[in-house]
Amino acid sequence: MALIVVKDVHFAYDDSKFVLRGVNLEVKLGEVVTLLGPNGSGKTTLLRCIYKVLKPRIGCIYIDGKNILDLTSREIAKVISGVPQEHETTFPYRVIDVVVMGKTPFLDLFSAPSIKDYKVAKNILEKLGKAELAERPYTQISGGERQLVLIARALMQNPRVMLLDEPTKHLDIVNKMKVLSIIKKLAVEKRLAVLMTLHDPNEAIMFSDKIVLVKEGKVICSISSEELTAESLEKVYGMPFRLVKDGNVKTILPVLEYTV
Amino acid sequence: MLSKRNYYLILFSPIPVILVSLGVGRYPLHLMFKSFSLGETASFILFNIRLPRILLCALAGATLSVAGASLQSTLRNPLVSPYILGLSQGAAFGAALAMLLLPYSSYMIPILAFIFGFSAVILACSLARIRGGFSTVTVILAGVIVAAIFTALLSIVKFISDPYRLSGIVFWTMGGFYKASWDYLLLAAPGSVTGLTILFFLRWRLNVLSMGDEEAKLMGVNVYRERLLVLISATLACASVISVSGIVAWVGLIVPHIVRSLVGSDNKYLIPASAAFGASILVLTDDLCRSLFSFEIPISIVTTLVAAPYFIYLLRKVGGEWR
Repeated sequence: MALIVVKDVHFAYDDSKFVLRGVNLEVKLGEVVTLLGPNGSGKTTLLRCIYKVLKPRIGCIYIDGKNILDLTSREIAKVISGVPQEHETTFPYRVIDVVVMGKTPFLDLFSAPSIKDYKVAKNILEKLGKAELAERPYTQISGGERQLVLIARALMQNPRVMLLDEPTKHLDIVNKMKVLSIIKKLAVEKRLAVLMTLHDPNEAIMFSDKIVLVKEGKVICSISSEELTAESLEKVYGMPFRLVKDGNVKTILPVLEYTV
Repeated sequence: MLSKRNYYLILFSPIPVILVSLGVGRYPLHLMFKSFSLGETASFILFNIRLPRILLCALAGATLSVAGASLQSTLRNPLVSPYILGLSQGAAFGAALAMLLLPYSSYMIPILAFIFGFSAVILACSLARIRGGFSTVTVILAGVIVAAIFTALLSIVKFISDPYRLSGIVFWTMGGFYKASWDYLLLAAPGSVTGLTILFFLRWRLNVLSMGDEEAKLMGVNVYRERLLVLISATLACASVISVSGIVAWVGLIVPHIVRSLVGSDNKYLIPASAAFGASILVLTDDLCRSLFSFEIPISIVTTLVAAPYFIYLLRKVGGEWR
């Protein structure tokens, strides 16, 4: 059964322009789904609707069969965790302090995480191969490391669904591959449903089970990553692409129409 | 935590500070103890003048520092304090208004101080809120505006007060504990202890709130409700203290910064340490105020003169990191 069901969602920040215009989507357990589409196509807006920061004008979103309008932020946070696109740091908390914040949905207003929770947080960091960061101020680590710390915090929520908004933004190629492999591995091992947005079609092909192409607030098509073609990308981005095959490896390259 | 040793040193610092401060004053200590018993004058000075004053000072220092640290976290802004947000000025206006209109009912002073202090905070926060978030700059600007409004309103109160009351209000806006007594302590304690207790138990939550609205919500926090609770508690605590001590500037901004550099940013430790450090610092400052010269110096003058250089140093050192 699908864990997230998005049904005919329309959303507008103001009345003049709808950012989402009838989105339908399903994400199953253990599945990595990538939203692919040009800037401003509504990918981030859709994620923010799913974790109830924004409220759709029309349409419903169901998590595990329940309409999110009937759930509190806390109830949602027990199922869904997320890594937002931009994280603005303020105070130099230790990495372990940031990771343990993922425990919040399971704590009462006036309580704090226990020693056991700190141990769990440390274990999560260890599994991500970043145990040595625990005591460092999270304002002084690299962008790739910070992304892993935020993923660790999301895992601390012990979620069934993870939403990641451009998890590879600002990262170099090695860190991109590292972060995406970890996400893919987590989806398989922990049976997580993962929904993320990416900008690089090749990353999408390599790491996702399903690719959802989005344009102007509408889902153009929802296909398995093997089925992604140059034509479908051209339809979404409005520029030609070329598919290069080398054995089993598929690469998508943009075709430049203009020569300088 | 940065250092466990620092944390416990700070936490227990008020005890020796208070004991030493009991001995500070015009009436010398060696005259107090004659053959191991206190004379009548000495015990009056010790228990009815110095002790309530020192306790009130400690309470005020703890309150302003904890409120400062909590406001900094919940508005995710290291430059915020009750003074900079306009809370102090709002509360001061409310208290002065009560002194002008209802001179014989002292219990109205903290109530009006709370009402106007809270109006100032809400006004500053709603002015600062742009596109669903607080930016460092807008919060400061909104605070400047709100502080200016309430300073002007306070001027009106001063303007229409008779000269006798005017001098009282003027001295009081410079801050001071010279009027301290058990009655004053009882006037301030209920509100400030209530506010401090709530903030103490909420303290770990402040970490999550400081991650920003959207991320806090992602972690299941009802951001609006919890921030409101922090604002109400901080205002209640500050307004109660300001009602009796007047405006004490800078403490709420500087103390959290110093403590953060000693024990780290985790509010679980920052809040108790700020309370203890703020209490110690303000008691020591008041010791200076009442013993440095033959007359008393208003405490805000000293706190500002001491804190400003430290803040200049801080600005030069880490200024670039505050956006």
